[in-house]
Amino acid sequence: MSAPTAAATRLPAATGDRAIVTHRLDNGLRVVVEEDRRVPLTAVNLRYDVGSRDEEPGRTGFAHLFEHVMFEGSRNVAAGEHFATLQAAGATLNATTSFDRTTYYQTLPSTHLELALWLEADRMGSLDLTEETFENQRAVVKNERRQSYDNQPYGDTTERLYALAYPAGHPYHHLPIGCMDDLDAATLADAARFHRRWYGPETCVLSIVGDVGLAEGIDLAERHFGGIPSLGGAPPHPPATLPPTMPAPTRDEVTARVPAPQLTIGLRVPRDDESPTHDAVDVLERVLGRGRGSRLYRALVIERQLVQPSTSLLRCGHLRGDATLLVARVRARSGVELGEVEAAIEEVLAEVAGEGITAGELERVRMMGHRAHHLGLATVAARADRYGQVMTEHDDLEHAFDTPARLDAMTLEQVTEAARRWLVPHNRAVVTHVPTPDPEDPR
Amino acid sequence: MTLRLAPRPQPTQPARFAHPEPTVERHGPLEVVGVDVPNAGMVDVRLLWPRGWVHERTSGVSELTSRLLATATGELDRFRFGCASDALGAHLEATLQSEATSLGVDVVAERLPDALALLLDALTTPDVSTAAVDRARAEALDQRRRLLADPNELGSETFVRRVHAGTPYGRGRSASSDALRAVTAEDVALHVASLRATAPTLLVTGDLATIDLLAVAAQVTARLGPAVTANGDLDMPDDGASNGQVPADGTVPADGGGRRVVLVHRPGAVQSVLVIGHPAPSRHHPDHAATGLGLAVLGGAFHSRLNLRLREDCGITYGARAHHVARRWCGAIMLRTAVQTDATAQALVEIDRVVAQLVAPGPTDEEVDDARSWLLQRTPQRYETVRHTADTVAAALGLGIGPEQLGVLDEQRARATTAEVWAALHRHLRRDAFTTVVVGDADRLADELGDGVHGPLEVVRAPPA
Repeated sequence: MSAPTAAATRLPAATGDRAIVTHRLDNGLRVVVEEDRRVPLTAVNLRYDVGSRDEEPGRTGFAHLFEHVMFEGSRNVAAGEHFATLQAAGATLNATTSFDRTTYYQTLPSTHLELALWLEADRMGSLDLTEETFENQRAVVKNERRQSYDNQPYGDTTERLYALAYPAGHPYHHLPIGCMDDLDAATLADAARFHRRWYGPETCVLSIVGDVGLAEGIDLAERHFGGIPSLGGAPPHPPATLPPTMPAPTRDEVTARVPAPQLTIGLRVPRDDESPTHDAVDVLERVLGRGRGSRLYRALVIERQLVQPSTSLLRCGHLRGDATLLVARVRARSGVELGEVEAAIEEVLAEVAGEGITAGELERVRMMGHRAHHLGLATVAARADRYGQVMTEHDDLEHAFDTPARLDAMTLEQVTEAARRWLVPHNRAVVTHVPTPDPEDPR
Repeated sequence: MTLRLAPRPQPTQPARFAHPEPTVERHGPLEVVGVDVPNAGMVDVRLLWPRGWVHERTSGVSELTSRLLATATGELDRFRFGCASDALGAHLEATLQSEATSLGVDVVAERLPDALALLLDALTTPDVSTAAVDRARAEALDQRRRLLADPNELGSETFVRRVHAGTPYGRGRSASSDALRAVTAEDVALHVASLRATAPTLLVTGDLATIDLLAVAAQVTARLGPAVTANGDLDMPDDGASNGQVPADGTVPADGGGRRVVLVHRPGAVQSVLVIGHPAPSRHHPDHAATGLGLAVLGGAFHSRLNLRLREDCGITYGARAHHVARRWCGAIMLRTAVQTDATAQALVEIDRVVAQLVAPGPTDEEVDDARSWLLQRTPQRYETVRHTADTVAAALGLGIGPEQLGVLDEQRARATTAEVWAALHRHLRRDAFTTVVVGDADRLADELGDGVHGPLEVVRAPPA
């Protein structure tokens, strides 16, 4: 069979005939409700517009630590009761903290929807912490850091890369996990202040998606969240403005107990505001480094056999508040030097910066994008998360569905211009990991 | 405005979820299983063989074969194959598990014929040249090196090698480096031929109102050709029992070694990964449902006993879990956590105490009810999308669970009494048989773990090859 060419047909539009409504309570809480009766499940997602970028000096990791303590008790809910109650009700739940936001989410049998809303409202409106529960969560978070970063091969990669790519003092200079000393310095009083400042109706989008009626969803939101006082306005985020590209390459060379040499290259690119400027970078990401049909896969994995195969050799970050990073992360095959790998990557980047991409590549990326969009909205949880994101950033739900149209409108010229602007050689932060020459550690 | 909160809602009882009822038809040698997901835009098609790496006679051959399927054909190299797949908006994947192999594609429904043709090209004309096999081998060796540098993977590998020693399950997730180096292109070609000669189950998941199941089956049988028989495998036995190595009765005894500690040295580790357990019955043992409920009380959800003690009371871990790894012919009970290094000995004592207290006096009615509710009420999430549904049904088929039996486990869970759960824990959760694997800094831990409390200590300073 010969290689099929991209056809004109597309994946089905994700919007379809969705039954969906948005609403704003008097206290400022924005609510999205979508009715989807296919499965007896409902997703509840609360996206708070606060992340690690909003942390005060000396308190790195606090937004994430605070996410943990939100499960440790409120006016009518005892420590640990939130998780226990919802899991006994068959919920899948958790929370995540990133640079730009904190999200609390659960998917549960729709008969328990009101229970989830009651629990979320109780902790939005009140906190009831003790020194004991705060200390416990500090210890848990420190173990999370050990587990996910300090005890993992290459676990320091992202932390080193962001420290290089964003100057000290910039909100993205440190990761949401924070550092041990700052976690040790956090206090219960900090937690109370953080809750008062950031956790209220105006900083939150509540999305309810699934086996629920539109009017029912709005009524439930009014009932449980309507009595929560407003914050008096959403607090501003700290200012962050960087030059569009890095002025000169920077490097951090690490020798560590790792199984193979690893090269990580970050390029500064425009923030992810879902504008054509950023969309063009997303196209570049897929052309260069996503899938077996990408240029980097072809050059590095198939033709030169320099790096270990991955269908995601390049990933574009999605930071919203300031410039984000386009990151190539590759591990060398046995016996291959990182210098050779880096030269090969630079060759591919230069080729695209100089000559642009082809129509066939753009069409391939469109198909990948349509598929990703469709799958990205397939579950009630994914849609609830997406609605919270676009309402927070655009206050316009249509953005949740316009990715395919934006991709279709993208031109070769826009992508070529993006390549010319952002792939320039000085726009690099590079982190290398080389295995420790330790005879006792053959890994 | 002062804070006004609505009263706590009254508890409600969700309706029992109805599992899908797949259609089953025969098309020549193929069993065709269709699972309806109304109004689904996507369709998922998989060829399933109840043969995995435990069945291979040449260790590592199925691993290299799965790397070479769904990546290239005789006509399309990896780059062109990747472009072809992307251009269809399709995802093609070969998956190897201990007891099953699958080759599948998911794609928007109207492109299924083209995507399925590409998938069948991959199966019927794969690139198994010496160069391709050498490349797959090099990549597998790199991946194995990477896995064994991960303390969690290293803990799992060490655990299964110890508790399943002497059976094919004792190989671990990937074949050894020596085994991978010994596989030849001829071995791979023979393995591919054996797959092609064995009629797979064809699993089609999507909106069956818009999919012609028989046409899909006809497309498959036409490409696989007349060599396909219902039992035509060349190098693989009929089932796990007949190869003489995998116990068939689902009652694998614990190894007779008693308690022991295996400390795998990881210099400078700031945490110790703990993997604790022993062999256990298979998925088909009559106690499976009750054992699963008991282990959910021990380490299933956030409010399980292990998590509450180690995380919420002691603050020495990010989380702890207990699983019944229940395969078709074999099983294991496995407790997992990672604790800060200076709390390693404390964690082992705490885990021992929590397990002892679960077995006697046993779980409470409330705990069993919570575990039951947690397990049962999440069932709809396993069928939310085409992909979820196909994964769920394929996993069941791979375990030898018929398409008409998808809801049986939930029914057993719903019926199990606290007394039955307690009895199952008594029979199958045995502290006296615990193998405790610790992946951590032996220079800091060997002395305190060498006191014999958890069994004799073996220190492993060189990781497996």
